[in-house]
Amino acid sequence: MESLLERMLAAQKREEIVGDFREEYIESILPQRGQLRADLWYARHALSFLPRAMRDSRTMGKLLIFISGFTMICMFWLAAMEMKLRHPGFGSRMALDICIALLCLVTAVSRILPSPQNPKETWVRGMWFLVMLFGAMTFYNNARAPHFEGFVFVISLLLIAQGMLTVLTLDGRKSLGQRTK
Amino acid sequence: MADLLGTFEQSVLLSILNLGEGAYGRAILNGVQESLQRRISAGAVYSTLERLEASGLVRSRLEAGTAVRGGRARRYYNVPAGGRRALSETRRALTAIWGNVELRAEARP
Repeated sequence: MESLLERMLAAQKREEIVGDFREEYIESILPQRGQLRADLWYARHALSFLPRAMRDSRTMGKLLIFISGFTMICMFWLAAMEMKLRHPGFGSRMALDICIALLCLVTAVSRILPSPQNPKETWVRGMWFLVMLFGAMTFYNNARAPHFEGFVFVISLLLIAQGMLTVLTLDGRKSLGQRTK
Repeated sequence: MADLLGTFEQSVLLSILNLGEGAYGRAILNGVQESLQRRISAGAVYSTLERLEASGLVRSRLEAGTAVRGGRARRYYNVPAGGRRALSETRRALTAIWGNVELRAEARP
């Protein structure tokens, strides 16, 4: 259990937080709740550090930038195909593809710039939550459609994955330093 | 005027003030749970402490650990003047917002 917690924490905070947990576990939780419930208590609190660990993780950050770039290219490709094929209603679909591509660009930039200089992550997360819902609806409609489109399947999954990754790794809260004068 | 502190931030700061010299992570977590009367995740409390410290509303120092902690250090927190000022301003603002409003239970039909 301690190794699970240690994995969630930044190196500079690891010692005191792990120490606090051990102290609480041994002195208070284990005597009151017994082994199994004490272990569940520990796991629950250790996992509460997961969102922060994901936001602070350099690996997750690089993954977000990579996926944002890939999704952006896919969206521009889709927009180009819409323009070439010109099926009925292509204008609105093209506009939507370009908007999502630009959102990918903003997302990558949000991750590259440090948080205090980039206070708009809240709305980026909000937009990606909507895109994630759109991706889920598209996935569902394509799965039920008489003519299943493979590229729609891939892109809808990509939008869902990108949305989840963005919501988890971007910090939606502005730091107090930006609010307190 | 500085932005108001949120309920959770106030709870964390007040817990530190109540604990005095004994304000370290574990004690603060228990204090916040007691004051808010609900279960709070440790991640939320420690993230808030980190944020408050980054903004200068809280200060911390490391001290030697005990055997039960496996020798790991304890981090104690205190609220400097800036943090106390932020709490006072928040309290003043909330008092002004509420004014003389009294909430009465709705009359049943």
